[in-house]
Amino acid sequence: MTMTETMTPEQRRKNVLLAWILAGLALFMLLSSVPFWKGLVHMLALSGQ
Amino acid sequence: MSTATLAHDHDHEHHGPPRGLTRWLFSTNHKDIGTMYLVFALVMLFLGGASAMLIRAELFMPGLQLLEPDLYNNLVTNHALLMIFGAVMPAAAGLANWMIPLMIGAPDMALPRMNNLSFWILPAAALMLILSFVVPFFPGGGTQINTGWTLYPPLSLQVGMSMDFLIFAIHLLGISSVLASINIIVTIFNMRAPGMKLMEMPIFVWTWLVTAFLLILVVPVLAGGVTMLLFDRHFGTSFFNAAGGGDPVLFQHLFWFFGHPEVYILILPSFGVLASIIPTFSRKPLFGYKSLVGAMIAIMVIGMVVWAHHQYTVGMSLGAVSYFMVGTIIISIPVGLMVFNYMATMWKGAMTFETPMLFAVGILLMFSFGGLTGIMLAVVPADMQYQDSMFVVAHFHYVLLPGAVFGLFAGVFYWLPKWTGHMYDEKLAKIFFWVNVISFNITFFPQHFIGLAGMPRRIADYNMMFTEFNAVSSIGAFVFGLSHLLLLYIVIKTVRGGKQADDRVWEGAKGLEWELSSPPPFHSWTTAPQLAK
Repeated sequence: MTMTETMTPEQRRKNVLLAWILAGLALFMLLSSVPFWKGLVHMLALSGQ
Repeated sequence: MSTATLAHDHDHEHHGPPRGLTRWLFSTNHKDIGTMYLVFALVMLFLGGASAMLIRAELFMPGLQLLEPDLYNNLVTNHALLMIFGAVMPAAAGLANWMIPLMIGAPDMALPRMNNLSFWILPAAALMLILSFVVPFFPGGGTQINTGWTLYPPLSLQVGMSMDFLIFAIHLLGISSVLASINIIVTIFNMRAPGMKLMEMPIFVWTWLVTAFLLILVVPVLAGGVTMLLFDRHFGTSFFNAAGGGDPVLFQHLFWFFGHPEVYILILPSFGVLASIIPTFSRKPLFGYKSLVGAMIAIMVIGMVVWAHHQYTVGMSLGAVSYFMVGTIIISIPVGLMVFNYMATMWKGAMTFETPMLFAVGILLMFSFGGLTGIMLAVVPADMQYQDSMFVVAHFHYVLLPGAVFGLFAGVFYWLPKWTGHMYDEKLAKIFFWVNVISFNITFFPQHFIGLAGMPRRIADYNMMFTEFNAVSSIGAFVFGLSHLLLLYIVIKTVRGGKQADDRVWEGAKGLEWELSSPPPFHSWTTAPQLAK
């Protein structure tokens, strides 16, 4: 008997839901990194001039 | 921390573990996966250690003896990546897999199949990583990766195809880390024993909760950075190519936004181990539980906004460098608070010095020393002099070896009797501790002085004036490297047999994990424990 078999459907649903939310956070960090960092570096460069 | 009065019978194991290779290939059991993480980390530790010993062999004398400069820098790159991504992070994940479910009274990790996937991505990533080192030796393999682990462009844009292997290895390692982190957070939030509040969890579990969030927040940024690097190399973009309107400094910001929190990712789980060990061998409750949790959260938040102290010399504005300097120095407050809490736990305790406790005390001393040189490096005008010297190498090895690696060793000695059911050989373990710690100091302490005297890092040759200290450092490194064979022997000997360990292995140990048999049943906490209030 494995853990997956003993878990109640409600528990499994809760776990998978939270996992997707956290995956969404990771995806957000990935996708937002490019424009965010480009803008920040541009700003830092301008403030140094 | 919760203690339990248990109505949990030890022998309601439904069946034993599956047999043969399938047990390991298809395992969804947190203990088996934890063991695989630890074995994988040990293999990587020896590979990374071998590259370090080659580096020190080259530096034993001035002039070029064994390694061409590019190969030397390839080894420097390889050593860092193997140790950080291959050894320390998987070892910490191994401890997390083994201990978090046992400590919070959960039957397993929340997402056991994803747990299997998180681990089995690692060998593929390690293969890619090793290929990135090996490929240049073959015809048409291109140039060696001579960038160091920071992979700064424009150099990383000019390296041969081995850089592509490395980028894919980093992608795979990142996917594995993020999946494991998601699993750990879900387990901690959703699978705790009934009645166990967040502020009642063992500090080790808290350190992993913070670490897992850090990983989810910063690893995707590194993935974004190396993806942009890949695009610049092959698809005509110019994110980091100044000739095309890009900015190489952008990569440095992306890298260090990951790279600095990575230091805390490596250190925090080991500090969690200390929070288990020090109260046990001081026979006192942990001092300042709430302040430790607060300190960890402060480290996470502040640690994410001080990344550019790694790049003071790239020409940022005075306001920017001042901000990063002040922020960096502020971090020493929560880190110092953790150290002081551990010292206060020991104060007037009935202390004994078994091997895990020896490591714990050694860690506090040596890590604090590394922290002090960190404050020196945080100061902008001083850093302008120290940067890229061997002083920096000495500093971060004093932070990362005691702060991360020795903490993992301490954890292995502390929990090995619980995992295997056998006591390890205490006499041999103490010999290992003393040889390990003394040789570590012989290796890295002299590097402070040659760094301050002007010896640059990442260069295979050096001025004659640095000869003596480099020779001492190399001798220390060989002893340090070889001492790990003793660790391997002790672990194998303990797995194969030894004196039967009690369920509560250490007299002063408290927590749910000690209520289970040694070794714990294959399926543990199938009935949730009842917590004593």
